[in-house]
Order: sequence, then structure tokens, then C-alpha cells
Amino acid sequence: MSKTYLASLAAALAFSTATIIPVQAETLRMASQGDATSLDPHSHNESFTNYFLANIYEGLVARDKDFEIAGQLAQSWEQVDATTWRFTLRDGVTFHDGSAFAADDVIFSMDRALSETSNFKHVLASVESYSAVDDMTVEIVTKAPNPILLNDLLDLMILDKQWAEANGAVEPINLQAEEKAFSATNANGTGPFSVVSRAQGEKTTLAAFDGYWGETGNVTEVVFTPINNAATLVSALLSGEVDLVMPLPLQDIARVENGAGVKVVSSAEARTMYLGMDQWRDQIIESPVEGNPFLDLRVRQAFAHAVDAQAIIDRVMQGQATLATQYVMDKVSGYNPDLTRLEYNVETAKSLLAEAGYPEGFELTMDCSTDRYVNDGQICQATVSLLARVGVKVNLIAQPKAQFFPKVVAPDFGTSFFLLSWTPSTMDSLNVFQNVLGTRDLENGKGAWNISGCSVPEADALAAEAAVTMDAAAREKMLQDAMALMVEDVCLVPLHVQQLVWGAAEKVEVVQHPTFEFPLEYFNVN
Amino acid sequence: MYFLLARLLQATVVMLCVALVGFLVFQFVGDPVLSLVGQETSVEDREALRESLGLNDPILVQYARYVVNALQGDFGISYSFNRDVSEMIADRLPATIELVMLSGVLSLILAIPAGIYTGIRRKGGVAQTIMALSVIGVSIPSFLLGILLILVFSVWLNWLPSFGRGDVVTVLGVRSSLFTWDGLSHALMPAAVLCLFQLGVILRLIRAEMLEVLRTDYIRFAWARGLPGQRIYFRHALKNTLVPVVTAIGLQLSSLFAFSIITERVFQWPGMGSLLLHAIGQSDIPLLAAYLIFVGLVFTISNLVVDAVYVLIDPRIRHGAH
Repeated sequence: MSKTYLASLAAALAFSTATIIPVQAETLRMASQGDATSLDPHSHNESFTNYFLANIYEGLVARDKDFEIAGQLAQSWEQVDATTWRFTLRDGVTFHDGSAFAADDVIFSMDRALSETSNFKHVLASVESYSAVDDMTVEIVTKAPNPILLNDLLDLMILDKQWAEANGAVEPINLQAEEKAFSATNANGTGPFSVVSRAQGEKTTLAAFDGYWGETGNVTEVVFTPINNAATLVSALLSGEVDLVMPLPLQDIARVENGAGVKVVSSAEARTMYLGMDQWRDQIIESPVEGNPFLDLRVRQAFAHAVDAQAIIDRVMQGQATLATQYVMDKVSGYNPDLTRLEYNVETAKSLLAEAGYPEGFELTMDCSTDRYVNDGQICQATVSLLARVGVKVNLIAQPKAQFFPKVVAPDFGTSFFLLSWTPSTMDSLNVFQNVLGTRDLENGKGAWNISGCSVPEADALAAEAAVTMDAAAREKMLQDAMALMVEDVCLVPLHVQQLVWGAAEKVEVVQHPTFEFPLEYFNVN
Repeated sequence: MYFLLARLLQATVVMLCVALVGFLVFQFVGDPVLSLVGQETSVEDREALRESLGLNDPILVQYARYVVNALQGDFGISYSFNRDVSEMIADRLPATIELVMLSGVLSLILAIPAGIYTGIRRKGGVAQTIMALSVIGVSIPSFLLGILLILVFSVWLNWLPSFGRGDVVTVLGVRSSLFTWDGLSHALMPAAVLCLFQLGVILRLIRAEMLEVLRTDYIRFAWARGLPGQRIYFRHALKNTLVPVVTAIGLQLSSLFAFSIITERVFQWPGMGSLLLHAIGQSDIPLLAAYLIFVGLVFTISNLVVDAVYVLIDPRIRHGAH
């Protein structure tokens, strides 16, 4: 009697240990200086928020491990004609709450992305109409041939129609609405991770979604904590309290490199830093000089020759950047490998300024943010002293981004000399032509970030043609030619391509993309 | 009763004024719309959002609208959190209260005995050392001290966690992290940093008051009567030093509430201070306005409490009132 009892007890124990041990729970503790601003995937188009949510929600297409565009919720697609695309949806996909994914969810999400309070209307700007052909097929018709429709769709996240309707989340958050914004603090996607708890600005916990359709790494739980103070962030990594910090402040690279059990992971980021010069006013602002010196190409060339971008990389960026020859980096389509940067040469700069009628240089004001880009304030200080060598006296206004952006962006464009940067979210240089380099045409939504106000009609024409050319090679050539024209005109002075620098525990294996993406399904904790 | 009503009225006026000053300043905190939308958002869409948030109205109109809503208990929705501001504050307040209470208790436990001791044995080596340390406590910036503590206790020794708030449990209806070891270990360093400055100030004040009182006639009489030292120091002398000390403690505690900002930032403590910094960075006007009003409230309440305590500890004030 007692023997059988013991045996069954032993069997029960053996059974329970057997079921517990193989499930190795691997927790990844991440920290960053910011937090996602919302859990609603259509309410704030901000890179960190988008990439955070890309672990919870999915789109029709996404970047795979090698940064190629691959089907996600779309199993496959075909082009019926130049403007009609037909997407076959993936079978057997469920949302975190268990409900099945189907074509009406895609249609609903597209309606939602186009609604009044959405911040993602631009994603579907080229789309004429869309419809569900059947339960598992969606057809999208574009206004004109759109060669980068797939790139545009990368940022379109799909929500569950029933869930959104049941919870009053049919439209993205409306700040005017009296009711609580359910979708800001709750999520129900199809992604590899689901939200377990969320306290914005404090802590967010994600758990691996066991009904996920795809392959994932071994991370089963993610604890994300924003740590605003850079010194605390690095200390938390060094003391082993977090496994991954992103980004790692440049001044702490050496500390992490020398630390035990931690490492620095870095790769090129798609962010290109540049200096902008007012080319649209007849009189530059906040400067005693008569007229606008920047209207003369020689002055712009002189500035490019005078600013030693390599020195800025070596000293200010501590080597964590690469020299920019143009206004996009090499992984962006339309990058022109033949272009070179005007070399650093004080004498050339001086003689160009003299030819343009400024042998003694001139005085002007520069606007700069101090908390937006990596070491932005110091880049500007370096620029000021480099320009002083050619006689240009720069009065620097270094200000927090909360003051900087309202001053310099549309509609005022209140600066004549500034530091800025751009990341083309589509990884295609057409995005840069539409927002930054193309001639300003605010009514048609073009050039809203062309703060310099530069204009090269030939390049505009090439970009417009590239926008509707489906032949990939011909299109690439057009964008490259357009880029060459902009560089020749010195629309902006390119500085550098920033590096993405993360600090991680030795045991953590990460995947970095040129965008700030952190696809946690490819991460592993060994 | 009349006294209380008058004070409440006073508090309301203070908060209205604080909010008004706040709204005058908000014009310079930046454009909230830019922190709400992405880089691809069109200029018209930005303008439409600005209009719908009422940001194009004159500042006094915005202020009036805010006050009318606030009087009905509606403090608006935070731009950056998309949540009710009052809910946000209710969420974050306990963490700050916890920190302030812990550091307040710590500083009183240390400051009162140390103040009395240095007042009595002011020439002794120990007293001199305490005084020297208190100067350091008053003068070292809190962010520097915080980072030093993290370096020593978290990175080098690995004894204490460097950031965040620990496990929260409910004991007797109070939700706090101070009831668990994990919670205490998280709170210890930030509380120590917050406590150090007050400790220095209160200690020096008690010492100065003790020196003053010990010179007075009634203490000499007490010695002459042969009363034991303990009774003279603690019962007769200490009690008479308390009026200015209580004022100082009251003010210190309320400024801790308002200005635990740096400490919370360094230790990523999820309290009111880190909320304020976030709100400033995002130009989150509803959150900023509510924070300022709240700070006004804390100062008025603590002054009220200090006044009430005077009456308890000094009968002369009580009788003088009639």
C-alpha cells in the first residue's frame, strides 16, 4: 500500500519536474532613455514608438532578419496591373486574444489609418482604393504606379476589428474625446509578443505569444524600463540589472568595452546629419549681413570646404559615425556611389568666400538642438569654431528640441543656418526628395522639411518620374542622378552617418537594422 | 473653524495664481503639437490639431477655460500619456510620498540627536566632525551624490539596485513599496540623497537654537536647582527650540515634494518629479498646469499643518490667539 503510494508520488514528482524544466524562461531586461508614447499603432508616428510596437503588432509586410522586405501578414502578393496589387493573407494567424485574423481586419486597419485622428495617413497617400476580394485576399489600387508601395506599407500595423469595436478604439486616440483612450494603454496584435503590463514611463512587460505563427528566438519575457538619466542607464547595465541599453551614450563606450560581461554592439544607422543654409530669403535672418550670401553657390561650397566633417567624427562622435558624401546612407535605395564630399580645405574655402565678395567672412546665427541627436550640441560648437577659421563668425543658439523645432519648422522656417538630420522611413531616397530636398510646395504636402528652401527643378523632375517608374533599375538611376544634382548644388552640407550604438550583456544576441528597429523575435539570451 | 475656512480660501487663491503664472510661462515651453505628430505629418494637419487643442486662443482664454474645467474636477487629458491628468498624478503621487516620508523620517531620526549633541558638546571632536559632515551634506549637489552612490553601491559592490521602485504590496490598506525588502532596497539610496540636505539644515538649526536656549536664565536656574542633565536638555531646553525647527521641517518637507525632481531623475524613481521632467520635455501643458497647482496645494497644506503644530507645542501661541 505505502509502496504504491510512494511510487505514485515519485511518478507525480518526476512528471511535474519533467514538465517544468524544458520550458526555459529567458527574460530580456531592456532599457532606453525614452519610452513608447502610446500603444496605439496609428496615433504617433515616432520611430521608437513604431519599432517598439512592431514587436506587438504586425503589418502586411516587414523587414526580415537580413533587412529585406518580406511577407508578414501577407503570405504573398502579385501585381495584377501597374496600379493594382493583390495580397494573399497568411492562414492560421490569430490575435493575442485568440480571435482569427482575416481580410476585414486589414480593411478596418486601413480605414483607421486614414481616419481624422490618425498620424499615419501618409502611409496610404498613394492609394486610390482598397477592398477585400474574399476572406483571405485584399486588393489595393494606387492612384498612379507606385514602385515603393511595399515600403510604404511597412508602417501600416493591423488591428483586430472586433477588438477595436468592442473597446471603443475604432479611431486612433482623440485628445478631444472625453472617453478613455483604451488603445493607448492596451494592445491586441498578431506579433510575437503580447503586452502583460504597461505603466508608461515606468515599466512595460511583454510575454512571448505562444500562438505566434512564425519562428522566434528564445526570449520568453521582455521587461522594458525607460531610464532617462544617461549615467544611471549605463550603471544599470554595468551592475547587471539590465541586459540591453539603447542607445549607449558615446562617452560611456570605453567603460562598457572595459566592463566585465558586457559588450558594445554598433552598426551604421540610416540617419544622415547635415547643415542647412537659407536659400529662399532675400535677406537672411538674425545676421547683420546685407542680403543673403547663401544664394551664391560659392558661399555654400565654401561652407562645405570649411567644415571638417572627419574631425567632427573623430573628436565629437568618438569615431562612431562615417563620413557622408550625400544626403542618404549607402543602404538607402537611390544612394549614388560615385559622389564624393568636397574636401576639407581652409584655403579653398577662403578664396571661394573672397570671390563671392566676402573676403573677411560674415556674421550669422546658427540654430541647433541639444537633446535630439547624438551629441548635437557639440557638433554645432565644433562647426562654429571650424567656420571661425575662414572668418565666418557664428552666433550659436543651442536650445532644447522643444524650443528648436517650433522655431525652425513649417510654417515659419525661422532659421538661416542650422543642424538637422533625416531618416527616410521607407529606406528609399524618394522619401528624402519629397520631404527634405524637393522644392517646397506645402499645399501638395511636399518639402515640409526643406527648411533650407533649396530648389533644383531638374532634380524635382527626376524624382517625380522615379515616383511612378516601376522598372527598378531605371528608377534607381533616376534617383541617383537627382541626388548628384542636389549634391552639386550644395543644397545642404552633409556631415556624417550616425552609428547605432547599443550596450548589451555578453549573453545577449541582438539584430541591428539601419533603422532603429529592435525585432525582439530575432534576439536570443544564451 | 473660521481659521480653516480662511486658510482654504487662501489656498485656492494661491493655486489660481500659480496656474496663471504657469499659463504665462507655457508660451515658452515649446509647441506641444510637434511632440504629438510624426515627421511626415502635413502642415495643415498640424495646424488642425493645434486649432482643435485650443492652442491658437489667447493665453488668458486658455487659462480661463482651464480654470472652469478644473473647478469641475476636470484637469484635462495629458497630451503625451493620453490619460486623465488627475489619474496620472494619483498614480505617481504615492511613490513620491513614500520617498519624502522615508527621507523625512531618516533625517529627523539623525538630525535631532545630532543637533542636541553638537549643541551640548560643541567643542568635542565628534561634534566638530558632525558639523564638518553637515557642511558637505548641505553643499554637495544631489545629482552628483546620487551618481556616486550608484557607482559605489550598485556597480562596485552590487548591494543595492540602481534604479526604479521595488515590489509594491498592500498592508493595512496602504499600498507601498516600503513594506518589502526589495522595495526598501530600491528606496534606500534615493531617500539617503534626499535626506542629506535636510539633515544638514535641521541639524544646524537645532544646534543653534540649543546654544541659544542653554544660555538663558531658566536653564541656569534649573542647573542651580540640581536637576539632572537629561531632564534639562530634553525636557526644558529641547522643547523651547522646537518652534523654528518645526517651521523649517514643514518647509523642507514641502519643498521635498516639489523638488525631488533631480533625485527621482537620477534613480528613475517613478514619482511626481520624473513626471514633471517628462511633461517639460514634451510641452505637455495639461500635465504641467496640474503639477504646478499641486505644488501650490502642498505648500499651503504644509503651512497649515505647521501652524497647527505651533499651537500644540507652544501654549503661548494658543493663549495669544484669544
